[in-house]
Amino acid sequence: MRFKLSTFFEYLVKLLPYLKVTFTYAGLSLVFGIVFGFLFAVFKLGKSRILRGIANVYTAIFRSVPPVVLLFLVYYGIPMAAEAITGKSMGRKEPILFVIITVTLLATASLTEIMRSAYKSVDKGQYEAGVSIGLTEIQTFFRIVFPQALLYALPSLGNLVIYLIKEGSLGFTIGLVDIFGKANTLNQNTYSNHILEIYIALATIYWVVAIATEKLLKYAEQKVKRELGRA
Amino acid sequence: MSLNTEFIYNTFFLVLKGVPVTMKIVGVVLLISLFFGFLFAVVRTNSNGIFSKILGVYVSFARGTPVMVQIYLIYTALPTVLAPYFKEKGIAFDVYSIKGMTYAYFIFSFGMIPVMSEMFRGALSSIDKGQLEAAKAIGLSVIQGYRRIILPQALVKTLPVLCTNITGLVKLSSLAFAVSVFEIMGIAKTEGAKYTCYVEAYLIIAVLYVALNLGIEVIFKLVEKRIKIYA
Repeated sequence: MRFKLSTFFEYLVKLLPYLKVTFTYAGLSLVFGIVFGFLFAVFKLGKSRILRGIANVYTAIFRSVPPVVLLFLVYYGIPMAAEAITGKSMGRKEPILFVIITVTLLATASLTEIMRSAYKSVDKGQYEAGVSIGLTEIQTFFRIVFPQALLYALPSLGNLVIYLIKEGSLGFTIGLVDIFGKANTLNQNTYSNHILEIYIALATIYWVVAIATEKLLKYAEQKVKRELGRA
Repeated sequence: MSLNTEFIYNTFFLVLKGVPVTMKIVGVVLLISLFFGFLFAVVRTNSNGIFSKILGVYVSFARGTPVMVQIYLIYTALPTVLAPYFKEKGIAFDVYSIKGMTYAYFIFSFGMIPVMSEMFRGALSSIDKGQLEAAKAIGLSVIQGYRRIILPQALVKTLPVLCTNITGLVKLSSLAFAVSVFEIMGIAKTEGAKYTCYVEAYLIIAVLYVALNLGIEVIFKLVEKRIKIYA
């Protein structure tokens, strides 16, 4: 069996539409992760000991548990818990739901740390200076502190997006038909006759997405830098 | 919701038997990835040649593609191509006799080397070049300069990152079930399926992995405290 370039391209084209599924779970998890991560970052930076404790326990657990274990735990555990609470069976018909929940849990833990350290990277004097020239606290946050924190966080944010896409790719193990799931189906349907072309096509797509994400974030970084007059 | 406590009790001790296997994977991959990671880091900080460029492409691929895709490529696809090829060429080597553990070492090292290399690169570049020049000026060789001057400083700086990388490796090792290695995850998966106690099985190992990783973090915190005097 030899590697055939034409077969490789044939499968590349067949797989590409399923990238939509990958982007869906990564995008939604990122948005949810930003919301919850912001909340936990506020907890961590806040004065309340209880809230700080909750946020610390959360990040300690979800940064230590392997994503594949978490995915299975969510996939089997959530319907079981839901049935116990509501008395109705929710079923496991939508694998993407469990992938989104899992990846959101992981994203929240990472984003909590990213936002916390980004906020801390901005000198306190900046805030004081903002308030002293007559800006309100909210204005100071959004016009002075936030852009600088964003600049600090952007490189980690790029790594995070790649991480979310990669961890979510485990979704095929619970039946998600994203590019990975589709690649497996195509491989089974052709009795592994094109196995090399299919999986090299799959790897290529993930690789290109990762490189594109990096480039995009670099571009965003330049843009924020220019806005801040630091370029 | 009722959890099967008897299953949890019995399986816990069974799963514990997987801990040494996990440790073995982590230990071997750690040694390999530290060695090559350091080598690659030195090459990439000191040269801009073709070899350095090739390493750059490798790092980008290994970090940009999901580990599961790498497993499918190397463990699933490659042997089906190599076996007929060897037969055709008359090479008497049975590709299918390669053990799962060997694949685990290889694939996880493939993924970890770039991570370790980046860690060393960051540490090496954080140390002023003048230090090596000063070492040379007082009559030390380059190797002596690295060993006595640069490395002790670099190692202290790598410790927190090394901790993150090792816990990352522990999490990564949970994918060894995909190459038919029965470590913590593999045992839990089998037992969970045998007794249809999925939630319990994954709950046990989630706790186990969190305990392992938090333990590693505590050890590193202690080491850091003691070693700080050298920084």
